Amino acid sequence: MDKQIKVALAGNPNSGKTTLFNELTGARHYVGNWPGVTVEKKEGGFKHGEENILLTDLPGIYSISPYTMEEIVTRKYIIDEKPDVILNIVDASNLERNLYLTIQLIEMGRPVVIALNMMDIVEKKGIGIDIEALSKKLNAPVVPITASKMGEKGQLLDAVVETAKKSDGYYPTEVDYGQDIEKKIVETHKLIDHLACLGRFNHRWLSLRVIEEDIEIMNLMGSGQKAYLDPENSHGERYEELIVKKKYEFINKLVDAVVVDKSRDKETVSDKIDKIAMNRYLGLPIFILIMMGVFAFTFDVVGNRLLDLVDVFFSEILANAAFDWLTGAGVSEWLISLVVEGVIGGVGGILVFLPNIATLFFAISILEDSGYMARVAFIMDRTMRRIGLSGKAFIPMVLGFGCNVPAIMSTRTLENKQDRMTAILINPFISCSARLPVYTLFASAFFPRNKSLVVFSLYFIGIAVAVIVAFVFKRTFFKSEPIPLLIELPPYRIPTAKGIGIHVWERVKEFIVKAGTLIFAASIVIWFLLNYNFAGPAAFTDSFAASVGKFLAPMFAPLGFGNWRAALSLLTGVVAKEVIVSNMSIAYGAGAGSGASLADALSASFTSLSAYSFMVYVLLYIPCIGVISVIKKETGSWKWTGFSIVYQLTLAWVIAFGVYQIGGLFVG
Amino acid sequence: MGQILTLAIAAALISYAAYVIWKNINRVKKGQCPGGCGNCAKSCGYREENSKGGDEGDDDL
Repeated sequence: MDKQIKVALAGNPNSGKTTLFNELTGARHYVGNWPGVTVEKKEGGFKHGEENILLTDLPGIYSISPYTMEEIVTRKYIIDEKPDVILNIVDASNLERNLYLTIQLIEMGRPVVIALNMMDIVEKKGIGIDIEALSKKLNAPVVPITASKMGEKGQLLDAVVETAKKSDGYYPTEVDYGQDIEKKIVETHKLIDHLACLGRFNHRWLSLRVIEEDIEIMNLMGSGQKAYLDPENSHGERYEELIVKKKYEFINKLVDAVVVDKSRDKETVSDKIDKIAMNRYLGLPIFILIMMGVFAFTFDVVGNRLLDLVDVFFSEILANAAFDWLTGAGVSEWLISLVVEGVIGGVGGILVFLPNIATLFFAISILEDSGYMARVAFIMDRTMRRIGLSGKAFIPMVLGFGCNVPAIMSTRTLENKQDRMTAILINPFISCSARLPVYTLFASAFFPRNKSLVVFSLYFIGIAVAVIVAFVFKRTFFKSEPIPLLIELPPYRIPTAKGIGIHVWERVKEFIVKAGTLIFAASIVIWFLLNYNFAGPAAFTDSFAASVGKFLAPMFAPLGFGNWRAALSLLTGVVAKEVIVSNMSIAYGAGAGSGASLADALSASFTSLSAYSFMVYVLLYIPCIGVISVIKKETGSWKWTGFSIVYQLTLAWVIAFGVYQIGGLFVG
Repeated sequence: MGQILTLAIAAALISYAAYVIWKNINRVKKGQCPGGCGNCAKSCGYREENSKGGDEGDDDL
């Protein structure tokens, strides 16, 4: 069998690695137009000609220093797995900064092939790059590409295979660090050469890392060797700083030699947009206006028209067909009720909201892919720093609009443990898409003329509570100085139909899979609990479920929804937030897929004010079981997981109480 | 006929529900979302076999 060629895909954050990975492997991993989308490595195998290639997408990094989780993952992979080729994706529109990593990768001693990405942007800017000269100076193949429109796969993969099969050895370009440092490299090499454990490293790179006082490498050395190391030269200059300076000198000379920039000092379209979108005073109001527009588009323009069509399919076509078929086949009445009211009612009651979810994520994907969301993180940095958090902590918050599980996992990109704990504990306040069916149902039933505004206000309350809680946590449990946000602002791009299609499809698929599995099973369980008690078949009001609901209901009476059906739905919502709606569909006996008729049934139990209080409670009370388990996993602590459950339940009760009681003074 | 069909449909529904619940309990035990759509993996490159999670035993933080 042919040997597999191991290729590691490495590059700066937001340089297009995941897009290139998807193009080469045919996978559909999430691509976001902001840094930090890939936290851990992922792999994909494919064939190029006769060659089997295993491509590993490594997290985006700016350097090989072991400061962040991404840098450690990347470095460890290159050292331990020794890939045959490192495919270094370089953003040609940001050549100087990207080449810093390239030089470090080359120094690690594995063969490097450079994919020069975003050539379309470079050409549009009027910049010319002498590819041949760049390749010669780096002594590595350089292939120009545009990852989002890959027609040039063949040339790039040919270069990868050729480099992997090169039998005459690999002679990387060496940066000349000057007499002083070069002497130091030789001395350090001699000092550490006898250490067997260091054999897996490239010696020149290793010596440089030791001189730069790389903490991980230093830990491999004995205290005797460390004593010989002097971090400063005879002029009192730190070697670490001198090495960085020399690298940039090398890069600057290289760029001067290969780049012909006809656009210097020319203001780009992105610059012009940013003057307004990122204005100190206008940035935040513009973001709020854009989000209001997104919600109006989702709930007033598109979503609800489609919702009616899906509702008719479930409540009339499917439910009637199932009823007729089962009755005709002589099936028992209880099973007809289970299928029509339990399964079709529960699952259909949720699936009617699919158009709203798809529309919302269509709009959010446009904002992400255009590059605007990366600006939002920057705009929010000022606010976040005021509360003591890094602006980087805003990125998990934005991801939380989709699902809090990956959002909490993405807090791994935060370097500071205190920031990370705070970001984990506040994330459940960010309203995930699973809560959207609850808002849509209640907003349509009680606020038909202001639906989008009501839903927007809930998202706003979620963010506001998260910010206030973070402010308190950073001054009590997790005190630390905020780390300044270093984020690359990508140029604005017109989103591709494929990119948006993938984003929307992932959300839609998530929703359908959940409806077909978890909500399906939950609907069956809820139907049994609502139709039986210890004595056998029972009316809803005497069932097991009603007993539990009636026990919990008094707790919610001061919040305006002290009825057993609401209390029961909140309890079942812990499984998944969508279950609140499917539970209500069954418990209110509203029939199958009954967006409209359920709304009518709800108006007998809720007022507009108690409906709003209920939505606020759903927004803030404990997240679903999946989020609770990921909080445990990421904090590694039962204590903090328990704390998160208790404080969220308390806070949700207090705020919903405030909404209902204070609101009552005005509404009457 | 009606009774046989009742039993068959009921058995299929209940065993599917039991299977889904069992599978999701296992997913949650591993710290994954019960949805099972795999979007977590796609959105942040998370892989089950690589996941190290957070710092273990951080109760005193």
